[in-house]
Amino acid sequence: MLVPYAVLYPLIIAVLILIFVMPSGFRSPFLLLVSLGIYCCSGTKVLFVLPLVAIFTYLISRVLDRKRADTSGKIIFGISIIILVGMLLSFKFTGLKGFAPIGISFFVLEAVSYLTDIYRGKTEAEKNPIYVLLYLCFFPTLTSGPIERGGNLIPQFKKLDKMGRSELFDPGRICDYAIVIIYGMFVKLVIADRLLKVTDLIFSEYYRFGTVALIIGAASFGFQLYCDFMGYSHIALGIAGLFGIEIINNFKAPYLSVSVSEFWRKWHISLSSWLRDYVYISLGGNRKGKIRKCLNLLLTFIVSGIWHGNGISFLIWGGLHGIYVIVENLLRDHGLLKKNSNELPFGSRFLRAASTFILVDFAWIFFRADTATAAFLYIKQMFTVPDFWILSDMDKLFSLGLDMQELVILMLALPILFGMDYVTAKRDLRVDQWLNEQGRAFRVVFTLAILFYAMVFGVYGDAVDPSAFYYMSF
Amino acid sequence: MKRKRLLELIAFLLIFAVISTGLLNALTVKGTPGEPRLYSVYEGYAKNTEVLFAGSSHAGQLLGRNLWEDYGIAAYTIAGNSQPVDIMYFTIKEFLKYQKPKVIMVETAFIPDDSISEPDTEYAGSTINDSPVRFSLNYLDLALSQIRDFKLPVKTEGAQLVLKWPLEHERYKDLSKDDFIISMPYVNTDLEPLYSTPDEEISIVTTDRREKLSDVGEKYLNKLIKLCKKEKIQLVLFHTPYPAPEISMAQQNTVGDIAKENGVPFLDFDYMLDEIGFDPQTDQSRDLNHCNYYGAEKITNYIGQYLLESYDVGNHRGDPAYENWDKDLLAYSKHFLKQSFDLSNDISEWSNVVAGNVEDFVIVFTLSGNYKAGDEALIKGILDKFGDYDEFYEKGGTLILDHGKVLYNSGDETVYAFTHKFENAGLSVNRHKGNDEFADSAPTENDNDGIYLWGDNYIKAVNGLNVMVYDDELDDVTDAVGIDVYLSNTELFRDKINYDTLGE
Repeated sequence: MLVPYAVLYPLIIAVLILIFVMPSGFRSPFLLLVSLGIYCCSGTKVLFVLPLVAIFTYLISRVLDRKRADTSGKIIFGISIIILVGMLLSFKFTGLKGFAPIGISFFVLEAVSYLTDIYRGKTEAEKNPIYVLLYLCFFPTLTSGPIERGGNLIPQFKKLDKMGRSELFDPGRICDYAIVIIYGMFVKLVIADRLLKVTDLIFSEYYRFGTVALIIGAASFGFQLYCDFMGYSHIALGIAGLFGIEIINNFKAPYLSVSVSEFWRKWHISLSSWLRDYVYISLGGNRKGKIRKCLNLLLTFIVSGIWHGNGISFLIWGGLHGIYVIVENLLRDHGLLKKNSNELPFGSRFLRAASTFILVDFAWIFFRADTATAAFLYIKQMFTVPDFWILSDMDKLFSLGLDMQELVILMLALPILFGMDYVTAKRDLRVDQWLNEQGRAFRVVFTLAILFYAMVFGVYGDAVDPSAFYYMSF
Repeated sequence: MKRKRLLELIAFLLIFAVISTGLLNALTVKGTPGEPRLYSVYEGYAKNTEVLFAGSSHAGQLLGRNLWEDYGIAAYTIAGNSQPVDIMYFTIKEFLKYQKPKVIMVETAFIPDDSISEPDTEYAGSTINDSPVRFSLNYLDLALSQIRDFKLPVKTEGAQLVLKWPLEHERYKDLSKDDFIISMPYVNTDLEPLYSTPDEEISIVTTDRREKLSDVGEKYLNKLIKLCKKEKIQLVLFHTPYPAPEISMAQQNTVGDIAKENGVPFLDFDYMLDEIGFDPQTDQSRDLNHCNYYGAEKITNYIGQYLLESYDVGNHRGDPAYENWDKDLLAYSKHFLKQSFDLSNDISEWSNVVAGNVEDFVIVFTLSGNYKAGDEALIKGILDKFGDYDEFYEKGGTLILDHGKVLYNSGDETVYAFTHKFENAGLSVNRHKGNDEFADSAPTENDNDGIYLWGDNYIKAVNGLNVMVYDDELDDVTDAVGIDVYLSNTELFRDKINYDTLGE
């Protein structure tokens, strides 16, 4: 988050109250001011890039709206995309890296998608600059997404400006989204930040560990990253929802996926759908034969790797996922994998989900390791240095970052994560939507339980910054 | 629908408030006798306080209970180790929300503290000392003052300090029984006086010089004077003697000047050594910072007489409204008794001390394993000191004496379990299998018998007599020993005996 929770939540309550009392037409401008204010307080080094990109996007969108059918429109679109992507790449890969503004990877993709959608005629260019600026600067999505589309957010901002006070203060909606925030805080503070201790220790000193410890480290990172990013996405979704703005649900129990292709339909959905719509389809998608389709898939995943980071390890990570998906497609085409995974019995689904997790988690080693060399050494060590006996040596097991007490706290929290993923994924529901079906008493007890669990056993306080999220570094 | 959801929200918030209050109570720092024990103040144990002592550990080392014993003055101490001046001020303010003493005695060692101008070091100490103050407007005032005084970053440390919870929740790792049931809540001053003396030749240097106080120190001294005037409470400043550097003495002179300007008495004992008969060589502790027990006694006596002569305090011994001070005194005497138990390592000497105090304790005897092997006179001799328990010796098992009277005797039972709830604790004793059967299996440690209190088993010996001395008034295990007939005729075992590891 851009500011610590201790500041953010009181601020949100204050903003909610102000939005409720102010004349309806001022809500979006006010939200824009708040977003820019929070951004200014975030400590980002270069403040002008975000407003500059937002104004640039608005101006180009107005031009494109009139000239999209002309050749000049095509040129303007091409140049503007080159400028935006070039700026992103400059901040990521050149000497400007140290000055990269927070959230640049996210708001640039949003700007690209907005201009592309206008150019393709999928959406109308918004005349009011406030809405375009707010779309790119909306504080819940600014640091780590979800990467929203103008066609989804802008109409909602307009609706917010016309909403009656009774609709704005809908206790049902506010409670639902508060539950989403609480769940996000629970997985982030209790699980992700606890696993961070294990991950940091094992990845930073991988050379002194063996097979079991390194597998624990890799699995720990898999869940840490999931809970960190999913936690953030829930918090962002919840905060936006409090203002009546519905943003994309970025995660749908990805670790229950039975294939890597399905994993990418459920993990960081806003990025994977962005890559699909603006990279994969632009490259020709699956319309130009099987070989081109494979190549396009590989390129798309490599772009994803480049977007995530500038090391070779991210390229390998993206490439690995590309290969996974290509191999799966080939197996599916040859009838070796069932096309409709819904037909799979529970046991098969379980095994397929487990093997998908192993593949994804293996690739995470490249994502997490400091360098590609470190990742290869980590993997080499994992396969060549047996240490199976540490499973019965409690002293060694509890020296991997979590002592007995911390491990018990984690183990009591994990079933809630798995259980919630299972029940929500089954019927494509959000946590609050599932709870709405379980009766009021259960909803109150469950929410209080996870709230207090996070308040007491969450990893935060003097020495930790729980408002830092993994994806903020991208 | 909307109404039902609102009701649900209200129910949620109510339950949240109730559980949060309980959690805050559990997680808040209760304070040891060396720290400000505000929790006991909140619980009502400072009721009827006449004189409040505040300041650093120099005040904590004084013997407040002597004031009660000798002068009937009900003194309460909220001094804390290295208590910074701002915390002292807000702690006093917090105390005044609950009690209104007639006199506040403030020890001045930390008022001019120069380190207060170094935010990093000071802040680290402050947050620990903040914790006992409950979340309230006064607490918020304290937190905001610290943010201002030490220029703390509002977004990070500042916000955490204001919310309090982020700094406290991590105490879940350290919670103990005392966080839920405080043992000896009425103890209102330090139980562990210092007895050491200096290893080197020392002298206390005085000076006429004046040295500036830190800005924060001067600000809070003036605020304290103002607060006491407003509350119409007599403030008395004092400084206990120690071989401080000249600059500190010069700062104390400045404190004295400010006190004089405001008509506040200042007892600087550095200048009263002859008057009170204070000899730094015998009355100072080895740390060259605090008075030892003997020095504290002299200063406390002087303060007692001073208070009695100058203010309308004292002479409350025997008044039921002041029973907490009687309990505090009792706790202190039992604390000394406990030390005498601990110091008796010889079976005969120890059993004489315990038997001599049988009326004050709950005493549990368990005869385990082959307790009849070896010298019969050993264990029988011990039991004889407590009364005629020959039959118990013959049959074995467990005998509980509740202040001298038999509370439980396992008698003919070879396998048994018994539980008794005292005011705070549940005491349980049990035996899993017959003693002969257990002894035949040549056990290496005693897992057959149990003397349980708060989940801990106080059985020590495998073959012999186990004795646990429980103080039900203070909810404290005074002593627990094992006498093993195979191992020694004289030695007491205070750690659980395991034959496998003996001699390792």
